[in-house]
Amino acid sequence: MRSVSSHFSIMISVFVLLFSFQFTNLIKSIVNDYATKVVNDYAIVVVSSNELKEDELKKQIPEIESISEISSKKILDRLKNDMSSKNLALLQVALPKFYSLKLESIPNKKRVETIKQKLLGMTSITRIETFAKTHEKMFKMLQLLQTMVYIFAFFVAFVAILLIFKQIRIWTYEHHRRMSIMTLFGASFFMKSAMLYRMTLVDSLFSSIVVCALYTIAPQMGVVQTFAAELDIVIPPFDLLVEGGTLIGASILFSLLAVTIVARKIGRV
Amino acid sequence: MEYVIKASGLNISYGRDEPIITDASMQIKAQEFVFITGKSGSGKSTIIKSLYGELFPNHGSLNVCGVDFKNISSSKLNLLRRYLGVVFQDYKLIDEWTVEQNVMLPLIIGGFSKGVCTKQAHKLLKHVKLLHKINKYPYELSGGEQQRVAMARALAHNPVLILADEPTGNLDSYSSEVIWNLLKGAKEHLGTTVLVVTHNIPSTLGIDYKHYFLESGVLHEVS
Repeated sequence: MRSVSSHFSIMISVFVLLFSFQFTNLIKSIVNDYATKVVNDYAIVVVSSNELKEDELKKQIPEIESISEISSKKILDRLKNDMSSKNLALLQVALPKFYSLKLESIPNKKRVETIKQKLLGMTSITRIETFAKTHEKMFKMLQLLQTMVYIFAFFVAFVAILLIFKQIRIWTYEHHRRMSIMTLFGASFFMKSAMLYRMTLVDSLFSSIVVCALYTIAPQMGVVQTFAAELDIVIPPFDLLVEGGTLIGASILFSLLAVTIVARKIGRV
Repeated sequence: MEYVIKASGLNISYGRDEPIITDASMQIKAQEFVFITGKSGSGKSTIIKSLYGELFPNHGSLNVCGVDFKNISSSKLNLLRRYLGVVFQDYKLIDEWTVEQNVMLPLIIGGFSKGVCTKQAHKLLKHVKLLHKINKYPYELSGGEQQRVAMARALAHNPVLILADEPTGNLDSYSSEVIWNLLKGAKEHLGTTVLVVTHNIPSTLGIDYKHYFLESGVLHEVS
């Protein structure tokens, strides 16, 4: 019974650690993906009397990813019935050019203002619409989300350290007598720690496999997919090689480190 | 190796306290049966502890089974302990291991195969009349039975030297007899050197022995 509870205490500790660690990664990845989506949707509209060259603009504002002309054909088509073709032709010549500027990343409020001033500094540009208010709101929302993820990660790390120390104290108490007796009969460091190493390695491996399975299966479940679609978010698939490898590696490292501390703590008798 | 234990001018203390043992010297030859007697608190257990390296002398020289204790390394001490059979006053059995596993401990540490370990454990448990309790745990046994298991464990690997700390203290006459017969048998049949720390030397032992008396931390050889 004591042995079963001992196994469970290790498995649960490692499971909580790995699950939280992977959850932080997942949220971070979803937020980053959402940020990319916002960047793709965001654009600054520029009104210019002359044609704008992408290369020249990029020299002044490096974060510009692309520039595309907004066609005025739709507006002119709408006015077709109310105006004579001569006036329409004159209007077409007089009408300035509209451009949509896409950026590589989401700039903050200050940067948007700098970009605006740089663009206004160009003689041909007459007006700029940055949609600053809408953009600012979204930017702040993303920043809040990311901050929350980091705070969550910090607390997870804190709880993980507490769990490790608690487990080390339990192991020291549980195995002190056995390891001391083995030392009195001449057992080497690895011989007396072997049982603890074996137990923690197997339990940690089991926990990491359960976490990997959970993160592989969960995104494929109907409920999760519907929920993600409702929020317009994409849950990235679990990378068994990289993420799974990291989780298994981290759990093995955790167990080896914790057992070594215990064995060293019990030390020489 | 003429002497199994060679100690000269030993001073032993716990931490920085006053020495428990002062200027102790003894020379024990191979295959000798030795008693150290003395009153409670005279330092008998302290001497035993120093012989298997749980305590180290502050002064003097100590050599056990050809191993000098001066600046002894951890690995050398481990190696020496594999040649010793120790019977502790508080038995020191591993609670989560069965009787069989406890007896097998020195053999496992010695690197013997599972078959050899099992065979030897069964043989010794038969000697101590506990073969029927092979799968029991120490907490399921009486004090006398636990001491017999500890004795079987001390003999399991045919040690060069047996160190027994009050092996029959608080035991019934049956368990005491079993233990004395085993210690006698180890000396007579296996040529093992035996050092026993006790209050009283049994009158019916029937073998030659050497006797040291410990009084106020000073060791005297009784002729």
